[in-house]
Amino acid sequence: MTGRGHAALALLLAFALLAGFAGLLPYDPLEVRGEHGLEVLRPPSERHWLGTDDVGRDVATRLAYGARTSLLLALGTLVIALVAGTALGAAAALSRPADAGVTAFADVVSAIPALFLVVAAQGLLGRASTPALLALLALPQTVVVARLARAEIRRVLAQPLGEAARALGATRLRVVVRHALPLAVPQLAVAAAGTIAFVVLAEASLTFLGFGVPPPAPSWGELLRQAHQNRLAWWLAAPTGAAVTLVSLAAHTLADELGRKPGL
Amino acid sequence: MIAGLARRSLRALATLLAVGALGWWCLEAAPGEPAEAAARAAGLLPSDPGTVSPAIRREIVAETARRQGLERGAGARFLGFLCGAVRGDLGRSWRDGQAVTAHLARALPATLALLGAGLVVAFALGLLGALGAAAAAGGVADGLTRVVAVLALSLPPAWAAVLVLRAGPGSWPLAVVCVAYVGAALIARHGRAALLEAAAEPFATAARARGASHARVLSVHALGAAATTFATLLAVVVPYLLGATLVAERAFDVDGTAGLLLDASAAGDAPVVLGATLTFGALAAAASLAADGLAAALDPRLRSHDR
Repeated sequence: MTGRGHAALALLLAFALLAGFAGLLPYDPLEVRGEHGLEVLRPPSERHWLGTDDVGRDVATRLAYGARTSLLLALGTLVIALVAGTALGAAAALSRPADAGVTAFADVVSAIPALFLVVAAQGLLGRASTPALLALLALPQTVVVARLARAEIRRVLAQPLGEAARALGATRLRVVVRHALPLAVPQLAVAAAGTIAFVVLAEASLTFLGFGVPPPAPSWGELLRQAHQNRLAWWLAAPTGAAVTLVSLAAHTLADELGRKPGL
Repeated sequence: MIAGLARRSLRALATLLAVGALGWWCLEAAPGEPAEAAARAAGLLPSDPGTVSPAIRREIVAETARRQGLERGAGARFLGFLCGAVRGDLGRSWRDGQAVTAHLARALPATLALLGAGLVVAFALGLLGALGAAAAAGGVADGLTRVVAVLALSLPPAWAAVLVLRAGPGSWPLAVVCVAYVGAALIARHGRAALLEAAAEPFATAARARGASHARVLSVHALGAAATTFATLLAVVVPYLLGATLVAERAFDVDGTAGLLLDASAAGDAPVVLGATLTFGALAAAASLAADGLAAALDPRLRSHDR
């Protein structure tokens, strides 16, 4: 992996560290009244390095805990998508009826663009808790991974490598697990990095619109929503927007570098 | 070619009907009965169940069920919905009783205008970016375009809207820019790759040998060969634009279908939610079919022969 890829990975790790050590910050992200009383929408000062938000909470703390929200959502989505997607893709590659089922499922889920799926599901079933949001975000990503896995596995099964393994007595399942999946890892890694970017951006848009992480949980989307309603409070928009942009930038760059064919 | 397109259109329609069915099932699977949800959406019942006595609640729910036709069993209602959908009747809003199609008809033009203008801007900017980057391949301008494109892809639409609105009052052209910029970045990236690939072909070298300038080779010969790639990009880019309209319509106060979906979802107005969602699904499907059709029109090799 080139220097750019390493830099991207380092940036992601830096945000992960920020999220992990957010608890070390002096303020509580939900605390509204500080020792100096209620301080609503104050610009950055010595006491609050990034100012306060529209109910008086410290913005820097909300930003750090927001990193935790976004990255945990991204990690959760990633894990579900990889596990479920690979399983579905493998099932589709191994069995005709499963293939029909998975393809139909994939077509239905991908017929509606992802953000609309999340909003509509909440319109029909009620506002989502954070775990439910995770499931809704994981759905389109699972389809992406499933399609990828299915294509890769079918490719390997058809290659001489797959035929040789079968001739030596391997079951098709063993060929999939032992040979096809390891060969699919680079593409899956690209999909994984793409998922991180997708979730961080989706969380920002969804919570901005009121259909993401439920309040009063700290989140980057929530800070952006406040920024939209309080345009003059630049300390709400700038650090948050920069944070979202940097994380998705790192994730996109990582995806590019992982997808780069060796020798190019 | 027409047969292939017709087949894919039918498949898209079937998928959308399946989505509608799934949405319907979600509603049935939700806790509580639909009539109660309808009453809440209409504002007849408060969301906190404890504040209304059970007898009054039952009466309100029964009245709502009568008015909205929710008395029949789930199966009968679903069939009614399907038959209506085929005829173009998507039911009535739970909030104001108006036909869902009337709501959609009111809101769709604004969204279509935003989308259409967004597509034009995305392709114009994207094409310029792709051509510029390909012409300067390996140079500073190329690297700069790449950085700008990946930044644009990573910039959250919510922040873009806030930044733009800080500069001045919300205007429609600015909303269009917010919708288009992600699409432009995608087109610039993929377009650059397609152009460079085409420019490496023997026919491009032959054109150079005949005296064509580097610019002409790129903008006429390579672009012509890469045209199908740009056509298929339509299918890739439209979903991103649709997602951006969700944020842009809210941020710039545009009275469009995305705003309709958001308001209906906040209130729990299921028929409108379903109708608006299916509309966006139809737009995405239309873009995909248009991309296939355009690509087939540009490249005879892509025209499907009935298998």
